[in-house]
Amino acid sequence: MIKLNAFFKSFGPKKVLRGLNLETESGEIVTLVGNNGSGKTTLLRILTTLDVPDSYNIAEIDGFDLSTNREEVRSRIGYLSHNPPYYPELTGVENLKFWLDLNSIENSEEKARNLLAQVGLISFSDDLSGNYSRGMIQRLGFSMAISHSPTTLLLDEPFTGLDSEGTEIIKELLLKQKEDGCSIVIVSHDELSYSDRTIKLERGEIA
Amino acid sequence: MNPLIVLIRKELKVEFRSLQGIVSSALLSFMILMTFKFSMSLDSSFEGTGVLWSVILLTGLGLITHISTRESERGTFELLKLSSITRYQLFLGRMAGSLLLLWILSTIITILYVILFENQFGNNLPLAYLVVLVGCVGIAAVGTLAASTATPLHGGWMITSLFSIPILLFTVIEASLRATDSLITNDSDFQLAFMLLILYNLAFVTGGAWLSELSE
Repeated sequence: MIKLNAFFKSFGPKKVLRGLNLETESGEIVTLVGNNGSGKTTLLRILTTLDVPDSYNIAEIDGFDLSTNREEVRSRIGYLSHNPPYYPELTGVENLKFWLDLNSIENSEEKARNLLAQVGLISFSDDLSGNYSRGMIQRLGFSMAISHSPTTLLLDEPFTGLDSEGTEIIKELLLKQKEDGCSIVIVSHDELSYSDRTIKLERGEIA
Repeated sequence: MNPLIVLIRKELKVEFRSLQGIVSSALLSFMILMTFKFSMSLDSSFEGTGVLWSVILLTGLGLITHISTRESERGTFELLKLSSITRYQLFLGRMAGSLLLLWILSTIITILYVILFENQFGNNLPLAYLVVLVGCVGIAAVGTLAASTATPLHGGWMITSLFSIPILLFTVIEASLRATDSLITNDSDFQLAFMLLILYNLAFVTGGAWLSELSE
């Protein structure tokens, strides 16, 4: 669950987020739409703790403050950036296993293969990820985002580069996460039919 | 599994499958050593290990900057920051990964140095090699900290060197140089210089971990 109140962020003189208020419930899918530069990605990056807000009254994930409980926040979020990071020298399963091991998750190899099967990459799991297509990287990135059972999923244009099969797989997995009580925020240029709410950002404010 | 081991294993796998950092740094080291060899060929009185430490410092920092820039450009540094490990664990894990690669590089440099400039250390060669390995700890600590801060910036590779070299020159490099030079001249400075080197290393490793945690 995300709770933001009077949330501000600037880059130099440019005010990117202006007194934003946002609340999401568990098991809710919220789509953030808006033009380029409206502050969508900045908001997501701050929620992941990769960036810091300038000021706020409340900024919490599951009751943990974004500034003072960063480790707790990080352990609760799954994040898929616009260009999912990965190590091209490692295979798909090695990338995922590395991430799981880093987060101290047991049976990492078995869990990694299971996740790759869910996103339809099991037959490519032992191939070097440097040879993956854009859509396959997106699937790998998504499996990393959900691998540690986060309570909040933050997805920046998750359907980029995906074919229709990939889009359907990710959609099914998103609905499963929703059923499990995960709070999901999706940044997208299009409205999504299965989204519970669509919020439009305009110059850092909710329109 | 301990996050430090996870980070070290990842670093070794990534490097040994690409060989981008080690091979290019080793080749650069060879070329710098050859340059010194030719430029000093007329000076028969040449003695001391300044050449050895210059090459380790310059190419070692180049290797660390390469590792950090690769991580930064791919966005995987942000991935690491998103994991639930503490910042000091992240620093120590990245530093340890760089240190292992630096040890490989400095072993190659030491072998080349002994071949090109003859074995000035005599029977003290194993001790000289130990000083090289210990000296690399400080270089890895300062280099990793500087590279983590600088590589996301434009011209980060240059900033890393500009920041690291002055700090290392008057601490780790000076102590290492004194230690290895004393092995050539067989004077009593070795123990003091080696002790000083260990103290500098401790200060930089703990300082780096503390600053990483503070950056949170």
